[in-house]
Amino acid sequence: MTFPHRPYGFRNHLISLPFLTLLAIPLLGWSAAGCADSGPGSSATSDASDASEETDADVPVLTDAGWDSTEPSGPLEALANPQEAPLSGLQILAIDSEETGLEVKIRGVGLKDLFGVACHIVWDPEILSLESLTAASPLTTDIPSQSILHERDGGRAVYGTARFHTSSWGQFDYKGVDLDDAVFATFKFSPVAAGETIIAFRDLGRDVRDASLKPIEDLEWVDLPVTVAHSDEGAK
Amino acid sequence: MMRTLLSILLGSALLASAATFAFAVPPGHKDTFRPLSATGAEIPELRARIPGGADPMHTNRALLRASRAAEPRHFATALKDPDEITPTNYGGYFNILHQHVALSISPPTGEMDSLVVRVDAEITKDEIAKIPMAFPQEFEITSVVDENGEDWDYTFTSGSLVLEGEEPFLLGTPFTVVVTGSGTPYCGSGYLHACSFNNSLSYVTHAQYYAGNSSADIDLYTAVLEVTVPAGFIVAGTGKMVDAHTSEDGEFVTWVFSHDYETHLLSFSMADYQEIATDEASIPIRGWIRDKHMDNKDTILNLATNIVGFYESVFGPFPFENLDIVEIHNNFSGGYGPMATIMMMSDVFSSNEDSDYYSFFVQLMSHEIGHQYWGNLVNILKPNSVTLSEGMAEFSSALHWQEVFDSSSNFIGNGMTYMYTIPGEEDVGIGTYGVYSSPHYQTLAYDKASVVFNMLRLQLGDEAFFAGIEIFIASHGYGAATLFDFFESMEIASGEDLSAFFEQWFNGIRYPRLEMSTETWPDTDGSWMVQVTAEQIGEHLFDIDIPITVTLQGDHRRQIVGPLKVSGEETVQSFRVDGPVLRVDPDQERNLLQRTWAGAAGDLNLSGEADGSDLIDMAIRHDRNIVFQWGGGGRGGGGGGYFYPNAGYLTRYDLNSDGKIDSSDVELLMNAY
Repeated sequence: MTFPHRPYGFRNHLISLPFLTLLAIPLLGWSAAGCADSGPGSSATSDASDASEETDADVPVLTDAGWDSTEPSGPLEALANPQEAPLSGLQILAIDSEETGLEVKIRGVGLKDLFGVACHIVWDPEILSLESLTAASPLTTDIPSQSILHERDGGRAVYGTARFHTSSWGQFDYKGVDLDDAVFATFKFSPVAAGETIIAFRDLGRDVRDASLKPIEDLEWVDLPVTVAHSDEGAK
Repeated sequence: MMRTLLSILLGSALLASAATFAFAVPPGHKDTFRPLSATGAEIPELRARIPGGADPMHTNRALLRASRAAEPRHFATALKDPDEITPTNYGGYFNILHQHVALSISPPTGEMDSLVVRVDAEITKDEIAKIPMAFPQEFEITSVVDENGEDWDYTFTSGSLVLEGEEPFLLGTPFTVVVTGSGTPYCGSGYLHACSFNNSLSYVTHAQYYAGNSSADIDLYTAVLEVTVPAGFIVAGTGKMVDAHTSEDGEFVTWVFSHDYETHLLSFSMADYQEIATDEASIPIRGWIRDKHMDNKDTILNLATNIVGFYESVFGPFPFENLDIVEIHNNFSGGYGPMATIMMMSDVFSSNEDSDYYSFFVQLMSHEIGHQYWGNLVNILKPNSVTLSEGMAEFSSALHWQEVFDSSSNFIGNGMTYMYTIPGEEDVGIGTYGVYSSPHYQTLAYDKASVVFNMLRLQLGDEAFFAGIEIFIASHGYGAATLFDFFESMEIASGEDLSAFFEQWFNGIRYPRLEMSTETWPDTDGSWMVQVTAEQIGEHLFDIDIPITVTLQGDHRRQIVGPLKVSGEETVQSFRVDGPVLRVDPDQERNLLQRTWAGAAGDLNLSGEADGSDLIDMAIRHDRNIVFQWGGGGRGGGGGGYFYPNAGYLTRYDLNSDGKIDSSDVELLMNAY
């Protein structure tokens, strides 16, 4: 299965309003957990009726009856399908690791005069479970920066970093940072169930600004497709 | 009491009379605003003259320019023939029609070795037994005679000169009294000096060395002021200089100032002035400055010309035949704007566009020139209407700043000064009598009032607001008025019932304090919904419309929705916007008196969730104090501190409410995620 390149991520944000979330469940056919802003929702969490419409044979299907007759066995493994690096933007990229889990980083490439970055990262929590997350502070130079990284319910994390200037007699001289290739945060996931998901930048919550405090536009946001499968299933 | 009041006031055009008012008004008396019919007959005519679709501000200017050119003139801001003005005394036992004040003064000491005040008046109530006049108690009165030189029976105690007659005075009886005396005006103490005397620069402003009508709230009259000083000194006075003649021995020069329009403020200053002048404005502008400021004369005159032009564009023609700019001593600590004259402290005259002091110079001069309309063209009739003078002058100044420098910082700063310096228990309604005796007089009558007048402008829109100004001036120009009269004009122009506005902002105290939170969700066709919840904090619940600015993600495009119609303890309202939401700003322009806190922990920018964008916005607000500076003497805040507000400060980011957005607030935010 190939994943389309989605530079602007997915566009499901129904999590933000509880009563609409309830409405969305029957419409989209997701489980309550799966619809929790897991825009990169996978067919693995679909119910039977959805599954009946699934045509991609590479995707394992969870049915009421459990796994089919070719039920795979062995430990679950997560396979990342890295996308092309952006010329200028943010990318979620897998880190080579000896561990069985999946470690990814939020990487900034070709960013100029950077003052602050904010984003939300989403995934399907029924396929991947977040084990740990670590924020980096690439914006700290001669001027300090602060960073936040917190997990939210339903397969989501919020990240932010910004430079904290001080004034001189009430005047500010904001200075940005040029980042050719820097890490903003790292996440460790463990596979929960076979299926496919995308660790993605959510549309909501994006805010990247330069030292003029204006938004840096035309950035690429490169997500990371992930397949979780049993080890003897041929997951690579 | 007068001295006490003087010591706490700054730069008022009406201070002397205001002190007099304080005796005349029953304590605790409060005007009740009467709502008017929404069907003012003048509305169609006024609105018909506004070209549709044009920018209201510029439309208004075009309207006023057109009005000036029209004959007959629709409104009264055009210079009136003084003979058309009916002398007014507004409720006293008698009406002063004219005063002629002649004095000889020693500038270094202030001693008036000769003071002759002639009062021409008329009895305005029947069967008056005595005529009470106010006269400076520090003066020695040597004679009181009538127009024929016959002695009046009088008593003079504690500044009260009481004229007695053999028979009661009858309604309509004219009389003349000539009071002769000598003495030195009391210059008071504190930062606002009514006068100051030295060898180089002396002035007499608020010291009332001439006669006052202590039976009336306000008495306006025409006047002539003659000031004789040693040769070498130049006298700059209120009104219009009409003559200067030298004594036969050449030792003295008498300067004569005519006040052809009614006033009650006769002031002058003496120094070895240089004269500067321009004819670039619609009226001649002349300056009286000292030699050391001559290099800056173009800046001074250009600024005055521009301010006069701006006010003419929004308020109508300059109301007097000339404008004199007078340098006075720095110990005045501000400015003063009597009729056709502005007097300002010396230091500002060295300011130019490259100096830090320039903004103060612009604000001060625009405030004082604003008094030509507010306090001179229209005097205040009651002390609870002092905002019509000081508040409107400050409003004019902040409006000028906004227009010329494209910045609302003066309005914002004035609002902050009010909200952050007056404890709730010390707040006083700006339309009540208590405002005069408040230790926060200036913060209330100047700062809060200027913002409230601007809020009224924004509520009504420029078209209606300036039409209301036009009606007000037409009705009360060259006279005196109350706040009620002002609101009556605004109701006629707008057709709105403004009684609730008046009650809330002029009679009432405090301002809305709101805890706000939002939720957002996508709706159809790519649009998003923003639900704003506002809870009012405290016992004072306000009705207020708050525009909501939503910054959209991506290009950060701003979309103004609303207004959020805040009322009662909780208001919940939803708005549709074009895309996902990055930030929600209530009253983003900060035009309103209100403070907002985040209702959801960490969601400082009200995006609906505490996330990284809040951290970025905190970084932008970081290291901003509520004030640039505390200190100096006296202005605002009580306790003698000078509150110089920082418009970059925003309550919502000061999480521990200590007046500083600093690392402790960042720490609180980090813990709130």
